Amino acid sequence: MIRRLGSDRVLRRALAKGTAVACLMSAAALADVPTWVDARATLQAQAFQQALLPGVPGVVAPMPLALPFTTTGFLRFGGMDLPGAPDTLSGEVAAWGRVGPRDGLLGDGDVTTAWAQYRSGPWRVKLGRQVTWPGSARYVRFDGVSGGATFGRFDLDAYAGFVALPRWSLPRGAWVLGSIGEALEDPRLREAQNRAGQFLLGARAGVKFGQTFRGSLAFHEQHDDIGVAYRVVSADVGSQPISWMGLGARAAFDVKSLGFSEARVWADVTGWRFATASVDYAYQSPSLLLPQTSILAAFGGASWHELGAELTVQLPWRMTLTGRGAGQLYDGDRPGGRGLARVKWIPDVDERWLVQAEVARVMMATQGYTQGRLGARYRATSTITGALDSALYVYDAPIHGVSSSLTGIASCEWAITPWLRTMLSTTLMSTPYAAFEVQGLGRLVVELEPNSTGGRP
Amino acid sequence: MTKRAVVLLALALLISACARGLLTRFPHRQHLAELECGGPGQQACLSCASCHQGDEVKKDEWKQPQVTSCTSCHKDSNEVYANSIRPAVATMPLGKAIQFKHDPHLKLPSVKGQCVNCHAGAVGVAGGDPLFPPMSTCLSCHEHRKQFDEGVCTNCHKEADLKTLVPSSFLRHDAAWTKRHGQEARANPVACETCHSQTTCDSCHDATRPSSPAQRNPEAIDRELVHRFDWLTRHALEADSQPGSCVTCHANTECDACHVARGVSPSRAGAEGIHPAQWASGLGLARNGHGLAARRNIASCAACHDQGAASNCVRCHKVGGTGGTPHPAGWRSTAPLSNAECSACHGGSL
Repeated sequence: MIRRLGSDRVLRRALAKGTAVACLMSAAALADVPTWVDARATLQAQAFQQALLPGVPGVVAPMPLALPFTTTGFLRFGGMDLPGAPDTLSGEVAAWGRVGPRDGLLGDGDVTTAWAQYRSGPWRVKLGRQVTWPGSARYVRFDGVSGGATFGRFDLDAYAGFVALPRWSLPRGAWVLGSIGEALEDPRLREAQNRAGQFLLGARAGVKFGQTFRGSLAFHEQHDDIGVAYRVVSADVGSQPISWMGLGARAAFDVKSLGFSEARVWADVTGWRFATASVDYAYQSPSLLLPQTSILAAFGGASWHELGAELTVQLPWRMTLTGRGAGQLYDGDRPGGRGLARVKWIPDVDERWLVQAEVARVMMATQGYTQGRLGARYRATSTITGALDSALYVYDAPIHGVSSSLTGIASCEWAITPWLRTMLSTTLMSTPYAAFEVQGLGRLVVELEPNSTGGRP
Repeated sequence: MTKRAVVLLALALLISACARGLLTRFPHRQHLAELECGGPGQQACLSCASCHQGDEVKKDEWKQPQVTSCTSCHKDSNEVYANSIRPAVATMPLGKAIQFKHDPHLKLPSVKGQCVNCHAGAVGVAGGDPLFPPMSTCLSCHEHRKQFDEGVCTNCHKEADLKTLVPSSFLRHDAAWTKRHGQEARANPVACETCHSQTTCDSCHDATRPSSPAQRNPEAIDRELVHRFDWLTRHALEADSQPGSCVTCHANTECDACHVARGVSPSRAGAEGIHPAQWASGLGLARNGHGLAARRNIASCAACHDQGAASNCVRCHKVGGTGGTPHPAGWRSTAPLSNAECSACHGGSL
């Protein structure tokens, strides 16, 4: 049975029965320990329109309206029985699909997660499409197997498989995060994918002494079609010597180039109820973060350092002030810096209003910008929430002859039921790349478990 | 500002900060510690049990008070009650619905039947500590400390809640947690899996999705999302500010994909030049800054110029070329020169 049925159990049960999870539920009914299932589907309709692209002054260069339609699906289960092994099987599947304006009818899509895990006593084995972090500098998705065991204080994990293509380390034609351009991309630029030689393997051994100390040593090797792209040994340690202080450090060593690709040390102080603080030092060598099969990996070499701190203070009237600052030192160049101050105000205990204001400044050797931001969210009723967000960026040096960009976003969400939510949003922008740009978003979310965070939009 | 004013301001800050922890509007302290009671002609003093204890049949079941609890003292009990509870529109803080039996805990020798041993906020200063005790209170007991150290959460927490709870004492998700969470995930992914699905990570980190998390979640104004607002204009500046940070999530080929589409990559014939004049020519001239820029942030160069042996960098910097060696001082590699990537420049010298 599915646990945690809420007040609208009839509707949610109907949904559950109507989905593919029904088979899982029936299997679960036989189990001693209840199987749980989480599922969520989202539908998003977007509209992008750019106009007045920079170019010859005064020339209007309208772009075609783009109307991509995206759907995502997520399902997770746990506590399933195997013969003779109760409560040992769990799994997760997630995918997205998209129909775009220039991609033909089929559009694009990807299976982002598809794994099943067997876990019994100290042992665990996971098979399928999954991600791994331990020794890698990056978030790596692969198709393969991972396994591990925990004996008392000691952990051992290992993984191996093929790097998930065409969606990772992808040749030209990949969708790009964060810009409107993805809807306007030309599919003819895509190249054929080739998984030959694209594999990875790695392992991690860790030890833990309560909260006092933990440490681990990891190895990660990743190949692409040319050869060894990454061969990294990394170590990390963490400690909570006293309840209000956390310390940690990590270093990654590139075995192929015999240099440290990145390192980080941090300390958190959380002892006061009204304030938390964190200090952080980071080191990176960008050329060693490139795949070592890249010719350009041999061209760089300069490293950079960053020392940063963050302080969050609870102010009167249910205000929270966050200050964040960091300074960067680059080899052979002038230093940089960035700072941010943010005030978050929740006027009343009912949390009906959330108001947020932010000022930030970023400085680099030849450019910099100042940002101001103001946003608010208002819960009009228990089911309807509206939000406004706006930001102004002022650039130290003009970009395409324009020194600022302005964005305004309005959204309204209606939770029709706890498992069905809909939202409409509009974004207006004026930037150095588009004198006027409008984006519209319609979103529908259907979920089996309203408390789930998995697969959220 | 006088010294006294400074002290008063500091006190006000502290008190107001504490008041944030209130999860109800009910004035607990007023009822429990400030009522004139128990004397001749006065009403009986109240205790926690006066309102929260179950009826005679279910005496061990502690409950949320109903309006009838107010009726014996307040004539306008309905209004008083309505003003003391959280409004219906307010979301209840997560994690409060633990699997917990009050009665056996109250019988513990260390608790001695005193609710305030855990719920100190009920009689604290103007709200004081939270009415709900922090988890560290539970962990002061050896049994729960052991469960915690062994990662056994479900004795107290509902498994469903674990998916949405944020640790408040162990792996606290505050104090720059957003910046640091990747390091923690690398160090102990199994701990993350206790609560999070892989898709939760993907909701921000999956660079294959056709729109950014900020675009998909415009209502989430308080979430720490990187690519907000006019990211298209800003992305090059951010890459310059924190070199290498992009490639920790994105393959450099992803960058080139967009640059090709927008006609600013040498991978596309007739691409628009984005560098100033003499950027890569005129040896010794001040505007020839490409070497310094490449040394400082080669990942940015790779966002357009990484075409393997066909990279235009190779044309000048190969052995025998006019550009000289591009390797930085102290350059080391265990790869033989016969490697495909090495031989692009060193091929002629083998």
